Amino acid sequence: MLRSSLRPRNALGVLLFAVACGLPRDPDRTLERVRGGVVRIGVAESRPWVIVTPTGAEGVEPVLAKAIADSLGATIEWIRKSESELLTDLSERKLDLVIGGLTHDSPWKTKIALTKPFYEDPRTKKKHVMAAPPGENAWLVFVERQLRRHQHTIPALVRSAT
Amino acid sequence: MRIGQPFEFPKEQQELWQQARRMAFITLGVLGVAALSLALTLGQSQAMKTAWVSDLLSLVTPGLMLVAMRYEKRRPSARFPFGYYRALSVAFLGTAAALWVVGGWLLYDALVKLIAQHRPPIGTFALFGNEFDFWAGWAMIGALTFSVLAAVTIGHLKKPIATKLHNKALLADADMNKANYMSEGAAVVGILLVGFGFWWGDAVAAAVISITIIYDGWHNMRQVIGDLMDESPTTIGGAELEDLPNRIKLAAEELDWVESAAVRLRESGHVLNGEVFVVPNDNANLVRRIEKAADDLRKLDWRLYSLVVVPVSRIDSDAPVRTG
Repeated sequence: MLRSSLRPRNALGVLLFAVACGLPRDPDRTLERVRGGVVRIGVAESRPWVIVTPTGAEGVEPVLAKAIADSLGATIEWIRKSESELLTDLSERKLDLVIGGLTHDSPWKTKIALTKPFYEDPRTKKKHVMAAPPGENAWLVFVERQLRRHQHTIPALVRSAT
Repeated sequence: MRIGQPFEFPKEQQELWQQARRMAFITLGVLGVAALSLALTLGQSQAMKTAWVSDLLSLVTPGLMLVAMRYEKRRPSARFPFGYYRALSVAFLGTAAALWVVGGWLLYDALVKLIAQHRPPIGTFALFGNEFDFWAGWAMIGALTFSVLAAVTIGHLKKPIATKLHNKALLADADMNKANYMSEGAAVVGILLVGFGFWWGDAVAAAVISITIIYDGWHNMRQVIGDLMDESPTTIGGAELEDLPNRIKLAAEELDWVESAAVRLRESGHVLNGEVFVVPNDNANLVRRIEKAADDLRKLDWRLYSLVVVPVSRIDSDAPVRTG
C-alpha cells in the first residue's frame, strides 16, 4: 500500500526533472559542437538523391542537409567516399551525417542511427532515410525534427530532380 | 475405500479455483496488451527488448496454467491412477526451463552489446501523422509504466486467491507479476541514462532484467522441485513444514484401538496424499475400524485426497515425521 501510494509520485518527479534537463543528450555532444560550427556530411553518389559535384553535392538530400546546417548556423564540410567507407566512419563517429539514397532497410541499421523516413517512394515503396552516428540522440532528434519540418517540400524536390 | 474417484474441492475452494482461472485469462489479456505497447515503442534499445521478452514470458505461465487446469480435474485413469494433480507442477517445470534458457540468452546478448560498446539510437516518436513529436524515450517509459502498473495490480489480485487455495504454483506466478516492477524499473532507469548521454545504461539495464528473468526461473523451479520430490506439506509462502502430519498422527493415536501411529504425507499440486501406519491393540472389527479411521482422518484438512490407513505389527521408527 505504502509503495503503491508513493511510486507514481516519485515517477512523476523523476519525469518532470528529466524534462527540465532537456533530454535526450548526446554522449559526444555532437549537437552542441555542430551549432555554429562545422557539420561533417558524408556524401555518396546516388541519383537523384545525391549528385556529387567537385565542390560538394546536389540533389534532394543535399538540399535538406543544407537546410539542417543553416538552421544551426553551421558550415558544411562535404566528405566524398564510397558508401561503405562513409558508413564505417559514421559508425566510428568520425562523421555527423551520411546521405546517399539510404533506405530504412539498410543492413547497416544496427551499427549506425537511421533517421525516421522522410520520403516514401510511391513506385518502389522504399522509405528514404539519412544516417547519424550511433547514440548521438539529441543530434538524431534534431535532424528528424528538421526533416519533418521540410517534409512537405520533398515531393516537389524529388520531381524536379528526376 | 474410494479408488479412481476425482478429488472434489469444498464449495469455497471451488469458487476460488474458478477465480484463479478467470485471473489467468485476465493476465493473458492485460499483459498481452502491455507486451504489445512495449513492442510498438521498442526501437533499438536492448533494455526495451529485454523488458518486452520478459513481458512475453510472463504470458507463458498463465497460458500453461490454463492448459494444466484442464488436465488437473480429470478423473484418475488406469494409466494415471493417482490423478493429474501434478499437471500444474509440470507446467511450472516448463516455465522455469523457458525462463532460464531465454534469460541466459538475453544476458549473453546484453553483455555482448556492452562489450561492443553498442550505443542505442533513440530518435523521435511521431503522433497524429507527424503533427506532433517527442523523444521516443518518453514513449518507451510510458509503455513501461503501463506494463508495470498492470502486472503489479494483477499480482496483488492473484496473491490472496493463491494463498487461500494453498496453490504454490499460483503463488509463484503472482509473485512473479509483483516483482515485475524490478525489471520494468531497470528498463526505465536504462532509458533515462541513455537520455542523459550514458549509452551504457541501456545494456546494463538489459543485463539486470535478464538476471531477474533467470531468478524468476529459479523461483519457479524451487516450487516445482519440492512437489516432484514428494516434499512433506509446507506452509504457503514459506519453507516451513506443516504440522498436519503430526496432527493426523495424534488424532489416530487418540482412537481407543490404536496403540501408536506414524504418518507420511506428500503434496501433489494442491492435494495431499499419504499413509497412516497404525499398530492396533485390539484386532476386533479391524477392517471396518480402519475404513472409518481413513474417512475421519481425511476430514482434518480439505486438501487430503488419498489417505491410506495401514495396520502394522510395530513401528520401528517415526523419524521421517517431524513436528512443525
